Amino acid sequence: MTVLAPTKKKSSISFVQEALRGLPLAIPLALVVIGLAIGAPGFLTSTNLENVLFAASVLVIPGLAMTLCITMGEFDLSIGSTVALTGAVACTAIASGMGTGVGLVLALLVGAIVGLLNGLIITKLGVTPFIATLATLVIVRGVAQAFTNGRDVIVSDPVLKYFASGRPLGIPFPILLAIVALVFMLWLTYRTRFGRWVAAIGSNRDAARLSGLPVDRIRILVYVIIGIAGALWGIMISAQLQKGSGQLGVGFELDAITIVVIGGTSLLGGRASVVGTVLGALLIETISNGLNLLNVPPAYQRISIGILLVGALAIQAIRRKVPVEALDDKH
Amino acid sequence: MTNTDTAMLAASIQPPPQKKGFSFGAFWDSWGIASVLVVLVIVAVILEPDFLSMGNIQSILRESAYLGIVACAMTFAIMNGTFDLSVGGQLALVSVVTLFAYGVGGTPLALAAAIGTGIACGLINGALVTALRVPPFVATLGMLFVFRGIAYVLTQNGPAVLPYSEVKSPFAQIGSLNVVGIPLTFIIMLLVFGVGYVVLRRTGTGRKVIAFGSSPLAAKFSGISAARIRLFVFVILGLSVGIATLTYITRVWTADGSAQDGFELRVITAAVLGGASLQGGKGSLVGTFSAVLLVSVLNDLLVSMGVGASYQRIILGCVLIVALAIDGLRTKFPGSSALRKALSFRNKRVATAG
Amino acid sequence: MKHTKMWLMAGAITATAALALTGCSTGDAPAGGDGETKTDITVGFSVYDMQYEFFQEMEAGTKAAVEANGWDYVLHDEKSDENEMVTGAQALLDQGVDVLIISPFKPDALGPIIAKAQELGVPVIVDDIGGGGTPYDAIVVSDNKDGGVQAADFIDAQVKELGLTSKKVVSITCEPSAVYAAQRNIGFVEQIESLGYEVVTELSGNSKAEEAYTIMKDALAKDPDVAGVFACNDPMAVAAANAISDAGKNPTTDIVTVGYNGDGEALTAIDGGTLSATVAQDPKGMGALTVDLAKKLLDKEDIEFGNADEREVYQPVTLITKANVADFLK
Repeated sequence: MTVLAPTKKKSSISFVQEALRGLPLAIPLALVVIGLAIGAPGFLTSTNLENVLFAASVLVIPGLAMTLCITMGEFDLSIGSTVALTGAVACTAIASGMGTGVGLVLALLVGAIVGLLNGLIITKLGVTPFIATLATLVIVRGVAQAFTNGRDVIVSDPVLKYFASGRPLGIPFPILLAIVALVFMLWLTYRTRFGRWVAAIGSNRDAARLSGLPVDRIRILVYVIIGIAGALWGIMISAQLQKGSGQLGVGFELDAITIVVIGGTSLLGGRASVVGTVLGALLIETISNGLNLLNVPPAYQRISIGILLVGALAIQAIRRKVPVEALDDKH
Repeated sequence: MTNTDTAMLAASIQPPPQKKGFSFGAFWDSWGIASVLVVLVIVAVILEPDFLSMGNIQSILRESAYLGIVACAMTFAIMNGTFDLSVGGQLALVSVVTLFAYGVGGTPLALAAAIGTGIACGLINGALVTALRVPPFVATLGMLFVFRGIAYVLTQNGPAVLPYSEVKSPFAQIGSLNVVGIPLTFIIMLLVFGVGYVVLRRTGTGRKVIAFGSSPLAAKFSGISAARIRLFVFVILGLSVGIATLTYITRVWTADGSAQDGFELRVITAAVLGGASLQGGKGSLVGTFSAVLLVSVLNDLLVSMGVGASYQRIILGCVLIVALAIDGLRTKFPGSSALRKALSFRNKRVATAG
Repeated sequence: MKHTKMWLMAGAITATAALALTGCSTGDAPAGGDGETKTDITVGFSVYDMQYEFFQEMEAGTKAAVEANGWDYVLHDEKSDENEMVTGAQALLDQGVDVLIISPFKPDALGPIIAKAQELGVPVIVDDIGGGGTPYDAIVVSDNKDGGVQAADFIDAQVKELGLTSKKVVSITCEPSAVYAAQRNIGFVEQIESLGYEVVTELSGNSKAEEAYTIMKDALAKDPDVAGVFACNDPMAVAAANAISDAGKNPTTDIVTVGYNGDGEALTAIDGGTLSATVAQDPKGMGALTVDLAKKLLDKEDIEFGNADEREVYQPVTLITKANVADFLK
């Protein structure tokens, strides 16, 4: 197994370049923040701003994992169902007296297994990621519902609650987790060979394989990472609600994918924008928070996110003058 | 390059002709899912004594229509190398508008509204993808939110309804009428597939749809022509949603923003299960048709056997994976797929054809 | 040949899966009975979604009452899908049920079902949710509006008892399409405003717990001195209570929290002091009541309606607080 010897210029992803790709998102974010500061009473209080950061942190952790996957040119639609299953597993373990530690470990393990399953179906059975994760979305949801037998698993666990209300060093725990995840992902994407390999697979999978990369193993590992991120998401939501439920997380995958896409990571693969994903999470949650403060009904929230998504990318696409063949998405 | 050159270039990239004699690959491509459907029906007859009752068969056919009609158009899209995630939102919006139109102007206005709104949605998607160059995944994902959102706003004061007083009206009859024992909605679906087949396999436009999907290179060289074909594909999708809406709301009589959540994924599943490859250039209308019926029959069978909803999901998901694994395994082994061979020689062929 | 193997594999998998299904069957008795005696009645029950405890209770109550009458029973799960609702309920009618009881996912989709039932001469009784303005024979509803009023009165009484000074409340509604559950918040808002309070935030949690959690967090940030919150269902109420406690306040002594339904998680929370009250419906009782009405209809007896114009029969709702929760905990 030979690997192309990376020279600093050619095959390392430049963090600066990538940050520049994501930064344009800061403009709409700034506009929204200013607009809300003026027009929405209660927006600028420290409690409210902390709420926004809290919500963005919960979303950004799976978003970062999804960034990795989309950089690879693929994506995972099943993460919402993983949230339900892992949350249910953790709460069931806690409720039956196995202790919070065991519950959390089991949840992470189940998440990893779902990721492994996705990876194997995609690499060994040759099913395209879009359809494979679509199928596992349905299957894992069924498993979560069967596992809980239609009844929510209620818990009252202070350790689990820490994931929702704990404040180490005065900062809400999810925000700290998000910072750790962000640092880890920045390092993984821009400073390791693994990150370069993922981008290489995204640019041209066949070339990557020909140059000796263990492509299948890398892909499986990325799906496992998403599975674990999904488990963390499930743990955090279950901590907030103090229960596990087979109904949780419906549609979550679209939220995760949305923040990555508006953040500038190209669906064609090969380029990551971690900074963009973070800004995307902040933007979505700020808008959501603002609309809540203004008592705006949910219908308008949906429309606004849709317009944002389309608008942001139309602008980027026009500026890039994307050629016609890029109309095709490789999946 | 002129249009004829483009067509010749595209044609030169067709896969080499199949060798004579029985080829499993070709058989499976066209009739694979249909065969599984036949097997499943036989199993159903054995396991569920009432399966072949008139009422049950009519029910299965009737409710497959709206999924099938849109799946037909989606097959076009996937063969062209694209897809549309917004069809669920389109269905909700078109349903709401159609019901409102019925209240204002009766059946004629409702029919016009359904077709018109559907085409309008298709044009918006098409414009985003071709003129503004937004990648289809993102454009249609965003529009999914927008279409549903508009439907929600329109139904803020309550869902759009067909009042009970209209029970005997011709409009409501569309959903329940049986012609010679065959549900009208299913007949509409057959017509749509029939027209679709003719357009796809017997017209130049149809051939271009496939050609541009199977060879992004040909698409690149043809620029405007490819863009026009793609716009056509999205408009066809919108039109199909309009027709499907007529078969849907005449059965359900109500709609709001939350109608048919997850519809788009079911449609794409049906098309892919039927043999359409997301890589583009490959698909089968017969396959899609069979896949839609397969899912309906399977659902009916599971429900009649009392299988719980969660297990139904697990089984349906596994069926999808098995079907695609078979297809995926075939493409992993180069010897069994002529198309894959053709694609790997693509660059050489272009050089000699130019 | 490789190809033949795959062909066999496909056939084998399908056949095996189907055969395995026979082992998995959890089905109920098939419809129609044996046709031996004319008094053999079959009741078809089409339910909103068996995933929810509320409907599991309703189903249990309905089934028990049907079997107590010596009748046959067939269940259909709509799985929160209006298409499935119409198809499945019509299928029940096709199978020849003598009475249809339905708890509709979308009441406005009852039209085609009632149309078919009338064609076949089968009486239809609606259990909760709503009737969609269709000519059903009877509808059993919880008195939702009164439930909202009871919640408002309770919050007012509690605020006075706890000595809270604020007159601000939050109202979290169910998903917009649940127009009949909306009566709960409508009743609540009317009553609480007449008692002199201000509804500072009213938002829809889409009936989902995770959305109610975020809404409550944001509402608290905007108005930290909120005195009470009423949520349209228990999952949302418990989630809101969690948000309150995560923000460092007490969801019974700092802010009065009231839910709706009487789900297990709410009862547990009330008993544990993390939720102030809930307005309990009696889904089991409602189920039994529908069967009772079915018998009356089949025997051609008169039904006493709470509201004759809409053919509504009311099932009273009960406010459950710490004081009486012990009676309701199983």
